[in-house]
Amino acid sequence: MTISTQQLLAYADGELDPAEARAVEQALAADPLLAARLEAEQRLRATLKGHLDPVAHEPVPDALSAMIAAAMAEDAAVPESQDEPAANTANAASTRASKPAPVLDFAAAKARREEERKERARAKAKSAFKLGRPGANGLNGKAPVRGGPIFARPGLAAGLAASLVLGLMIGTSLDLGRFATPDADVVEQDGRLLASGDLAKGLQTQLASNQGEDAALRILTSFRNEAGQFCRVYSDSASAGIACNASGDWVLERTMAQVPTHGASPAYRQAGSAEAELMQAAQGMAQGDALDAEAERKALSEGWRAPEN
Amino acid sequence: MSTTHFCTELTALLPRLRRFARGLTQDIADADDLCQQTVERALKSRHQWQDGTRLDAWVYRIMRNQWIDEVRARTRRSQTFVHEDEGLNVGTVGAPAAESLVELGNVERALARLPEEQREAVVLVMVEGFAYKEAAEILDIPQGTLTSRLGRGREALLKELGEIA
Repeated sequence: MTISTQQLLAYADGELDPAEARAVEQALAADPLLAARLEAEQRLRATLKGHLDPVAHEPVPDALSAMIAAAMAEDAAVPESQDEPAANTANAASTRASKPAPVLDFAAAKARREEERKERARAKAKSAFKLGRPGANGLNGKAPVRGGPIFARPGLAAGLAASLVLGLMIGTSLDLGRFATPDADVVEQDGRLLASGDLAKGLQTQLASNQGEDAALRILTSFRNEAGQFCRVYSDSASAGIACNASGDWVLERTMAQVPTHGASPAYRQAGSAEAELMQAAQGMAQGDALDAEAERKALSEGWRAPEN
Repeated sequence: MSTTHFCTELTALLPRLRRFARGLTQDIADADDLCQQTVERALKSRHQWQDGTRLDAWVYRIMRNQWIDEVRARTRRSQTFVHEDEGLNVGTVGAPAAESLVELGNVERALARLPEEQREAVVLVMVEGFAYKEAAEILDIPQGTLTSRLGRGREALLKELGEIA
């Protein structure tokens, strides 16, 4: 039978099954030319292998083996390995050092709790402050209604945390209904706010220098304003303010509602920012020093009428 | 399978890989570069290798594709460069015996003159000892195409090296 070159090469390459191989061998035995060609193929193979095989017996460059070893180590790496080779002790030490110590965690947690506590306090003060200044910053963004609190410094809110919330007001057109006590001691008359009832009585009769510890109304100080009128800074459980006597009436120049926070007794009184704020305002209004005990008694006896001068 | 096993097998393959690289490139420096790139790529894709398949065929394929990319890039870079007789200038490396010096030079020249597709077929089957089926898979060609290229490559080599072979 005739054997193609391709069959011969396949035989040389060991690609034929036993039956095919036997057929090629029979042809080779009968055909010297075919046998010579096979021999040439085998020599070529030997030559090529002789040329390239030595490369496979050269030592492999370290770089190649090292690359593979590094990959193997990477895959085998176990976190928290305690039995690292000596060469890695520095690494291991720095790894341990960089681990956050428990103390740090606790400190961080504490700082976080502190921050949250402050945040809650701020939120509380903020909402309380809102209570104290209704009408301001209305929902539709309108300017505060006339008669609303005209100034309320943001910084004030923090100082009022405990029991006092300010609605600091000035002028003559207050809507007192918002924070008036049930037995309102303030009346509106001719566009002015006038003290009445117990407040008017207290302003008229109490002395700052001599008042009982349990007095419902406290007179903080007495002074004369630029117009020469006698004025008094007062504070009670519901409000605090500055009242000046004009022809027998106590005109409220400034008032601040004292809104007790939840759980605080109405009687609970805190000499805090509200009074400090008023005292500062009084200082700005006053002409000369505050009245001393004697001057105050004299003014009282004369019915707080501004002396003619 | 564990990558430890993969790495052990790959390490064992390195001598053969270096031989194949030399057969493809016919240049010592190129072969070293090709080997390094191949191992890098194989390690990078080591998690994609499927256990139960032949690792050597998988890595040979990576190497061959890497080399084809390189050949194409070089062809683009220097179209005016003719390497026709470059084979005459190599072959002195490795200090072979004096009588085989000419012979080695001839073999390298003959291999270098083969078209890339014939050379890779010849080397895979005749030197690396892969079966037709395996070689065709490495080269991603039908087996008939492989045997065709193999036959033409052999013929050219016999013609070139006839007096030796």
